[in-house]
Amino acid sequence: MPRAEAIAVESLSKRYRNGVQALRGIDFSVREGDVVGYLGPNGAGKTTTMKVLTNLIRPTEGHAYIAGVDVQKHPLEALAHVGALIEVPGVYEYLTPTEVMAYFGRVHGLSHASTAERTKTVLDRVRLSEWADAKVGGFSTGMTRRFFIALTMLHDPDVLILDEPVLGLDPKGMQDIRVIIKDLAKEGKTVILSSHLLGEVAETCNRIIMINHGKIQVTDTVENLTKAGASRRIDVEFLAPLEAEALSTLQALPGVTRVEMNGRRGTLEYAGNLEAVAAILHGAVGAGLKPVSFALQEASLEDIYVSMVGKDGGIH
Amino acid sequence: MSTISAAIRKDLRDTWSAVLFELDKHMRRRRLLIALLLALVVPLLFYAVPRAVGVPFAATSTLFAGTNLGFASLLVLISAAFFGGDAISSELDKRTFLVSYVAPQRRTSMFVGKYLAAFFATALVTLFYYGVTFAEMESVYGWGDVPAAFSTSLAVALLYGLGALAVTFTFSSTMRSTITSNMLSFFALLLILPIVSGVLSIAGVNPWFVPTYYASLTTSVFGGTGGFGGGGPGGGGGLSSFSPDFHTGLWVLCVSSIVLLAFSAIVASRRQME
Repeated sequence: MPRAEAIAVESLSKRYRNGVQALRGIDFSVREGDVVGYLGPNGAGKTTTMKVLTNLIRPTEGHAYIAGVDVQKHPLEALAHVGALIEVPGVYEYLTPTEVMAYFGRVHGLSHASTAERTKTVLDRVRLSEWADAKVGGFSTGMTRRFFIALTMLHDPDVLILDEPVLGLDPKGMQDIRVIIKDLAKEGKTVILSSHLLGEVAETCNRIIMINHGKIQVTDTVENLTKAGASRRIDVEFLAPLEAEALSTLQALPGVTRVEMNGRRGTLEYAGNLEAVAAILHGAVGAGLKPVSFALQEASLEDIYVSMVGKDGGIH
Repeated sequence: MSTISAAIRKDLRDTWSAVLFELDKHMRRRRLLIALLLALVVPLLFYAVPRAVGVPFAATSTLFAGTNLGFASLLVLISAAFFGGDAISSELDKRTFLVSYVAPQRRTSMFVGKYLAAFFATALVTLFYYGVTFAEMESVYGWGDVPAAFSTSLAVALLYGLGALAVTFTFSSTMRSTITSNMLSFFALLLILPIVSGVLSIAGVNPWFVPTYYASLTTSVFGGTGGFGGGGPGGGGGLSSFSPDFHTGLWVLCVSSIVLLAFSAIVASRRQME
């Protein structure tokens, strides 16, 4: 049975009052249980999308849905399913985590006992139990971030929307959050997170959505993206070093755009899809070049990201 | 039908949660404590200073109340600015809206909760001030000698608080900066609106539509113009050739509160959090 859509946006556009067109008719969906990395350079439209999904701003056109509920038409019903951490929220500095959670527990309709139990659970999860009754105003940046992540999980939401969740965390804090996200995935929660830490995203997410200039550029699984190879490179090894004539034959094979050999080993660059790769291998064998190893280079998420946004990584 | 009643129950629950949360914040920020201290110290001074310098108290409890309760309207304005000046704007300025506005609660529920909490805090301070003054009257004039208009004065002070809070919530809802909304609230209530009503009076125009014009009603109910700066800021005493009408005052305070609050609630709930 196919999984339902936990998050969906349809033809979503947003033009700010200052004229900036942040989103240009984007469409995507996130299925229940997916952990999706939402990537793009600064100003690409990531936070705008997340603000629309959490009803902080209204789209100029289009719709956003959480669990099939239109966020703008029925925000209370939609947001009841969501735990959200957007940008860097301010803290009620004179209150303690327990007091803040008591309030939000009531807003989420939790009983006093459930709120107390969930508060303990989520603060344990982010290693803040010892600070449950300390004023939030005295927390470090990392502790504050961990506290907000705990707050997003207070009501055990089905969908988590996390905007740069590891911002300001030390390596141990990042590792903790990575573990939490993986655990949430195991529990069947749906997570969409934006981050600039691509290694983090590659490790925790099973799908990627890339956005730039307010348009969705790529939507696929991490596995497909890295295997399909935005790098378009093949590591090759032949039985013997190639003579000049054999090298010319290799360069002339359909789909090959560049050859770089060093003795028996080298790298081919190609244009096209996996059909082209198969054709190159077939051609090399047919031409008697005797390949003994022929392996697609897996592109890193970073390679894919850079190829999408350009080397300057900025807004064009 | 049951869906609608469940939604209404949820809104009422959220509003009450917001009231409790805001009251907790007022206490933690010590604003409530400061206002209560003010409500204690000022009437104590009115009581202790005449005793210390040997000046006799007013001849009757009515005159005593008419004089000492003149500060009530000023205290109400200070409380309103304290508790309402940044009630909404602080969510934006301090970016706490990124937590509170993404929770499943209506912004209007939060708004009403904040307003009620600010009113409860203002009312508590006002009641405390009247309570201390009441105790002083009992001490000076004997048990049972309380002017009949005392409760009317208290009711007017509370209504004046509703109106003053409506003004502060208007600034708080339309401004993004806490400093700006706080400053505008203080200046509007304590300076700008009283100046407007004063200038209009001098120009021969009855400033019946200015809410702060009715500050002196808290003391005029005792039959005088009040003893604290002519009935507090913007009061109808002093140079004014007009004096605020009691019933018009009640209407103006009620209507201005409703209109300003409705406007503020719409602005606060429709604002885009860009």
